[in-house]
Amino acid sequence: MITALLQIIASDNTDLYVLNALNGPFHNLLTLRLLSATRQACSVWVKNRVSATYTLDEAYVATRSDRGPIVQSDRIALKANILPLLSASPSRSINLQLASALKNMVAHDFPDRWPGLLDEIKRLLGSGNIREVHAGCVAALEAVRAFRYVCFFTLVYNVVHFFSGFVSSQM
Amino acid sequence: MPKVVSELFPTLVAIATNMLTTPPTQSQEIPTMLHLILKTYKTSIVINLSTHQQSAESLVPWGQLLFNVVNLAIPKEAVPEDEEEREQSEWWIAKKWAYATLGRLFHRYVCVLSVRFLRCSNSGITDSETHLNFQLLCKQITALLRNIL
Repeated sequence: MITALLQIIASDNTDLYVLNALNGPFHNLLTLRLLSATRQACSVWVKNRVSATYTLDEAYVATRSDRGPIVQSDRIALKANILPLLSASPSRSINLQLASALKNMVAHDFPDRWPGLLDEIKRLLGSGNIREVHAGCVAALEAVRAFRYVCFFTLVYNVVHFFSGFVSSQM
Repeated sequence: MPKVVSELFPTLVAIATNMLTTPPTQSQEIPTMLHLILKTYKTSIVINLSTHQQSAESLVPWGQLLFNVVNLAIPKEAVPEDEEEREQSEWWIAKKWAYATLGRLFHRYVCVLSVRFLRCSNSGITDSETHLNFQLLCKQITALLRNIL
């Protein structure tokens, strides 16, 4: 499902532009507008699906089919396509949804399950194409946002762990 | 986080510094990326300064970048005429993030130097070289504030 939606988000407007050229300019514009809305709706769905269920284990059994864990093939497709989509998408509204999904994926998968992420971001940042550099900047921001409170939570965890050990040793 | 910071931040600061060498125009691509880069730096210092960020190799270029953005003279042609629209211009948003980042550095990390170095260590600042870097940054920020006020 997610793989199919990623293909819709990535679909090039120009294909339909050429296909519908014979139907007149108004039909053409309407098709483009509908396609843009569809792509945005797909990106919102992907973002919500990732934020709600990306952390679920594959063995988890959900009561609703759309609340189940994301299958491995979809996870691989997401990781392979999200950065190219960020650099290819001309729409800011779609980019915002994809960036939000990327943050949740990084928080869950980096570094163990996504070892090539930093190399991919560095490649985008070093590119001569300004859209790829922009996508690299967005990806760097999301990578930092994914871990901005991690040090704090680790500190709190260590403090609580220390005091719980101290209290149990006194009892 | 420390790995992300040490691997990506040298590239980010180099890109941002390079972008500042081109004079500001109406094009929104450069200030948008500058805005994203400054936002990335500010987000990374919410809780702590990583060891890499405490070193002179990081603190000096980032400090220079922040001051350069603050001191950037934006020509009239590059931003809208109307003041309210100008507020939404990416150039001014980038300037706002530079001020906010300097403010965060000053209040969260530099200001504590005036109280006690020990308090500074509690914020994650550990060595004397960093202490000296921060003293330098403190002087620069104070001079900037004097100019503004």
